[in-house]
Parts: sequence; structure tokens; C-alpha cells
Amino acid sequence: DSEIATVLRVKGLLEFRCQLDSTDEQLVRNVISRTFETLRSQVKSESCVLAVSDSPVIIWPNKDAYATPEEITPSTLCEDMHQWIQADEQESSGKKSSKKKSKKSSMSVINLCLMTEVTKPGPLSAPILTKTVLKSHFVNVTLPLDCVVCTGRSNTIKDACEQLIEALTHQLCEMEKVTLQNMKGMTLLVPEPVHFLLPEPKGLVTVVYPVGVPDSQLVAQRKELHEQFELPDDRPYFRRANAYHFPNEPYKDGYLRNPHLALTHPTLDNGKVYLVQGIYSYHHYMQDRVDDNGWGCAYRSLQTICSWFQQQGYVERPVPTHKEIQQALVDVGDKQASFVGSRQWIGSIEVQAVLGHLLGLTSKILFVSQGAELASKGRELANHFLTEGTPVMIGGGVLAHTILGVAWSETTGQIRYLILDPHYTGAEDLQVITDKGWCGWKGPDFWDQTAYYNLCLPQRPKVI
Amino acid sequence: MGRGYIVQDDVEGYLSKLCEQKADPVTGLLIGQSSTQRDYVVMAIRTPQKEESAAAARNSVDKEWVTEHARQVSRMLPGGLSVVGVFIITDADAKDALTTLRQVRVMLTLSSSGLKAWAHQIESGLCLIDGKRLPEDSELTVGQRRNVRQTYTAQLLITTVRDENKRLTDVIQQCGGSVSVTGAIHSRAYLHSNKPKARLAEKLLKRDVVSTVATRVQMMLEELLASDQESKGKLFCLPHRIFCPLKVSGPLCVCDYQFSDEGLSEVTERLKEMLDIDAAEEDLDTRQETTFEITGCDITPGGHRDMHACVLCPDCPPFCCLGVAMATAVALLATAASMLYLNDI
Repeated sequence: DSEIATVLRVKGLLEFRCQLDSTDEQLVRNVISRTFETLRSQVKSESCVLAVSDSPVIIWPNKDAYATPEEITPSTLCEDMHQWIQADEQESSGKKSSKKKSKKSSMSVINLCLMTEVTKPGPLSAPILTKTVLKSHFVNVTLPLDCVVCTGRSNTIKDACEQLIEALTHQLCEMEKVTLQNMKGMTLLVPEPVHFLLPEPKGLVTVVYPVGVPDSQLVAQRKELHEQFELPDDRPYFRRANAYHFPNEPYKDGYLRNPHLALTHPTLDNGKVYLVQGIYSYHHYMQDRVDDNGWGCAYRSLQTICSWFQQQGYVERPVPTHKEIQQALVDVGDKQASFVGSRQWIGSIEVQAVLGHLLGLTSKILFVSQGAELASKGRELANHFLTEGTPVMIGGGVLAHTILGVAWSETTGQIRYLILDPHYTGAEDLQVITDKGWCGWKGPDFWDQTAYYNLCLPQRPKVI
Repeated sequence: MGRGYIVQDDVEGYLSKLCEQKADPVTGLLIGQSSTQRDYVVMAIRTPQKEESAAAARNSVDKEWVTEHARQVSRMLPGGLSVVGVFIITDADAKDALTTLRQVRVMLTLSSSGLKAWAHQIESGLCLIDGKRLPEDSELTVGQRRNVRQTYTAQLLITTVRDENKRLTDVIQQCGGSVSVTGAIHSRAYLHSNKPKARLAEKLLKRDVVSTVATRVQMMLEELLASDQESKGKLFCLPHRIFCPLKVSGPLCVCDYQFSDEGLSEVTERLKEMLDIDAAEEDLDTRQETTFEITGCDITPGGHRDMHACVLCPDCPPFCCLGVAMATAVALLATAASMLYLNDI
């Protein structure tokens, strides 16, 4: 019976400013450290203010959690803050299914903004203007602070403030470390925090990375993190693409993510459910202003697979277009040049070829001579989802689909397939997609019993 | 088709007195606050005599001088008060007079570009009135009787606004020096008493914060240019703000800036010349801001920039006013914003 945790996320920009009148490395490092120390003092000062987003609530964390409006006291529970927050607008990536609620307890996130109060009761001393004439370097960086703190049921505002201020100061220390580590002469890299959701019980973890340095140059850091958090060393957890996507943040590209999570999974006697691991986007007919109705189903399934590899951090390349897919097949010699721009179908073998050529991935092909045989492939599919966890493309007859999971009973042999159907032509409406079965569980009779099928099972590279 | 004006009684008296004067034409400024429906005029000020004015010039309107007067007067008005109009008293043809008036253009711009980023931060900031965040459309005097003295304390919360134009490579730049402004200012705005909205109070207050700093920096830079001082690491005290009530019993105040080497008599002189106000030194409110005392702060290049040298003052009585809702605030400039790059010398 897991608790629904309230996660407090505080974001804010802090100006890092200093003047360097010497290029001597040690002196420069001293100045940078001193400037970070100033920022840490700022965060611990009475002028530091936390404004709760979408609400009139403002808290002074270093003034014993004094807050406005006056109904909020230091002993108010964090979870009671929700009543002050304006209801979230519907996500732009689709309407939420109100009927089907995920059984898994989800996080509720309260967003806060880090601000500075610039007023004080008077009178105070009048302003002065300081002028220096000195050849120097002026450093001006905007640091993007972004901290998360998990609170339990009984945590009060006062507790939360202590945790938040500590998280902010700690993050500034991390930023100082990363800045000094990546300093080369008179060039500085901006440190930026990224959040990752690790498997339970570790939860949300924040890592500070230098902006602009690609994942390929950060292998040593990731190795350290894998050791620190005792994570397997053959799959990525800390690539930038693995960054946790907070529930109330809409996806800018508009595609639905993991529509299967809205479904209730079948229960079979002695059966277990084996699902795709991680995040994929739902690609289907008519998206991206491409009218591929009637011929593009395998292309869309391939796009769904590519989106999985991109969002798990294995590739940086964005999801390929129909033309790019066709060009790849021409480049490997599988098709003639006239193939590009045509409306020709492709099958599992072509999918395997494109995954190899564009994304550098290997895939296994599974062949069944009759659709009826698919019912006996429970073990193989279950194993695939257990070890690789990637979406599977299946092509046969005149159709292509994506298999996202199986429900299979070892004893009774009963089997169900979780299908993502690329033939859908409508809008990104989760309700419609799940209600009408465009993403849904199907029985063995879903397949054409006499047609032959090829399945493409993409293999996960063993890297971090 | 005209706009409604609500004019204070003494303005009428002032204008009547001007009518009795021999000079023709007499021009001047109307001071007050504009709202969408009407203008509130609280003060009229005759254009001061220009020193070198020849006899001939006295019979015509010196438009540039009227404009310059308006520019200088604007510096002496706290938030909410501004030049809302120009008047002309003349026996000449009314049409000519109107034409002349239209040619007088008053413009106020924020010229100090170094302060623009800071000004943007202030303008985007959150304003709390009496410790609360009010919905923008709410009225300030809700639940209060009319004509009751109202003073509101305001607080300003700011964040850094991300500059989309700044490239990652702009992180370190070479420069020949720096100019920075730190310290605290007292900011104030007045509101008409006819159901003023929280949104208006916030806007006027923020405008006053930005303009009082910009005015002082401008004045200081003008001084520096004039005196041609060349020195390294020098500290210059910006002039501090002094308030002077329009009427002995009234809440409305105008202000002036006193440099550290000036006496109060210079202030009263300026008030007479620019605003035609007869004020005695004891009428002036000098307690809102105090002179900066250098308490041995370390100002090493590349070192800290925050200098919270607060000089504590003996208790000041709370400020109150009559008839017009007012907001007061003190703005802290600890995170200085003005950086000017001087050429290599």
C-alpha cells in the first residue's frame, strides 16, 4: 500500500556574476568559489522567497516558514497545499481517460518558484555608484536551479522549507564542482541539473551536467553514478534522454506517451503480464501531415520503435520520416532509388534493415508460417519483454502492428497480446484510442490464422 | 468631445492669481494622474523665467523651455504623479494658443541602457500589498469607507528573467572596468481615490522604483562628466530623495534629490524655482533615506558586490495621507544591475 508522495519542485534562475582581474588559475578558482558562496548565502537569507506556482501562496523559508495568505502556517501539511493551487489544465498531448485510473500510486507535484525580495522596512542607506577602471574579465552566467524534494504525509511546510533550502544549497555546491571541473582557461561551461527516476526505492535523483557536453563524453561520470546507486552496467539510466518527465509537464511534440498505461491488464490463470519497459510515442496514420492511410502501417510501427530507442537514450537521432526510412533502404541497397517518395509497403525485414542502418541496432526476426502458431510463442515473447523490453513490430497478411506486451500463462498456455495499432487515423485522444481498442489487449484470434507472419524483435545495446 | 478633469480647489486659486499677472502669455504645467475616463489635476506650475530671456521673448512661448521644464519637473514627481497637461493664459486668440500648446511635446525615456535589464526584472516582479498577493482586478479600497486615510505597504519579489538572446559563448567577456549601483531607495506612489485597482498600484509603484534610480544615476553621470573626474575604484554617493508636502495638511508630496555636498537651502530653492512651492526647511521630510556611511566594506575587484551597510535611524512615525490611497515601499538594490564597459585606458 504505497503512499502517494507529494513532490516539491523548486525552480529558479540565479545570476552568477563576478569580475576576474587576473588570469592566474588559482585566483580565478578562488573567485568562482567565493561567488558560489555568495549565492549560497543568498539562498539562506531572509530575502529568499518561494512562490507556489498557480496559487497566491508565498513562503519565506528562512523566516521560520512565514507565509501569505495568513491561513497557511508553518505547521500546515504539505499535501494541504493542493487546495490552494488552481486545477491543472488538460495536457496538450491528449485528454485524460477519466474512467480508467492507473492502480499504481502516482506522484503529485507542487511547483515552486525561487524569488528574491528586494524590499525591506526602511529607512536604509541611500544608493552609491561604484566605478572601477581595470582591465578584467566579467563573468555573467544564469544558473538554472531545479531541485526536487519528496515529502511524506506528515511533513509540514516548515519541514519542507528546511529540505528545500538544503537541496538548493547542495545543488549550488554540485554546480560549483562541475563548473570548476570543466573550466579551461577562460572558458566556463554552464552547469544544469537533470532529474532521473531510478527504480524503487531510490526514487528521484538529480545530477548536475555541464551544458553542451554530449552524453558520449560523460561516460566516466555515468559509470560513477551507476556504482554509487548500484545499478546494472548494461543499460542507461543517466543519459540526458533518460531525464524524468514530470506528470504535469506537457510533451511539446504532441505525441501520446505510453497509452497502454491507461488500460487494465488481463488476468489469466497462473498467468503473468510482460510489458515493454520504458517510454515510447504512439505513431500512426495521418500524423505529421503525411497521408499514409493504407500503406504506411509498418513505417509507423518502425517510428514507434525508433521513439523508444530515442527516449531511453540509446540514440540521439530523432524519429525518422517516411522518406528517411525509404532513403535508408536505398542506401543499404535493398531498394531502387525510385522507392523514395513512393507508397510502397515494407515488412519486418525492411524494419530490421532500417534499425540497423539508421540507428545501429541489431534485431532478431521470428517467423511463423501460420497465424495460428503465434499462440505458441508465449514464452519467446515473454522472454523478449523481460530481457529486452523493446516494442515488437509484426507484419503479415496485409497488415503491420506493434506488440507492446503479452499476458501468458505457462500452465494453461492462455495468451493475450497488447497491440498498438498504427492504422488509427484520428487525433491524439487517449480516451478514444483506449476505448476503441487502437491500443488494447487482443486474443489469439486477432491474427489471420492462415497467413504467415514475421516479427522484428529489436535488441537493446548493452551500454550505459 | 472633451475629457473630464477633476481639479483641486487650490489649483483654481493658483491659476486665478496667474491671470492677474502682467506677463502674457503665461504657460505652465498641470500635474496629476490620468485614468481612462478622466484626469485628476492636483497642481499647476507656471513655467519659470529663463535667465537670459530678452524682452521680446517674454511675449511668445518658448516651447523648448516649456518642454525642458516638464522634463525636470518629472524627475521631482513620485509615482502616480506626472505631467498631464500644459496650460496657457493669454489674451490672444484662443486658436493660436491651442496651436502653440499642441507643439509642446513632453517625452520621458529611460535613457540609461545599463539599467534596462534591472528595470525589466522590476517590471516583471511580483508585488505584495500589505503582505498579500492580490488578484489584479481587485480594488484596493474594498471594504473601506471613502475618504479614509489609506496607506499601503508594498513588497517586491523578483526573479531573474532568462535572456533568450544570450548565447552560451557570452559567459565571459573582456571589459575595461565596471560601474555598479548598490544601496536602497525609498519608492512611493499615489493613487486617485475613485476605486483604484491593485493592478494600477503595482504599475505605478514599479514605475517609480525604476525612475527614481534612473534619475539619480543620470544625475550622477551628468555630474561626473561635468567635473571630469578620473580615478580608480571611486565611490560616489548618489543623491538621496527628499519629500516635500504640497500642502501642509495634505498627503501628497513632491520630491527632490539632494547631493551630499548640498544643503537643504538648495533644495528649497529648487522647489521654488521648478515647482513654485514655498517650503521651509523644516517642512522637508529627510528621513526616508539616509546618507551612506562607508563602514570599511571590502571592495576588491572581483570580490563581493553586495554591501548591506544599513545605517539605522531612530524611529520614524508611520506615514499617512488623506483622501488619496497611497502605496509606499523601499526597494533594495543589493544585486546591482548597471554594468557599463569602459574603453581600455
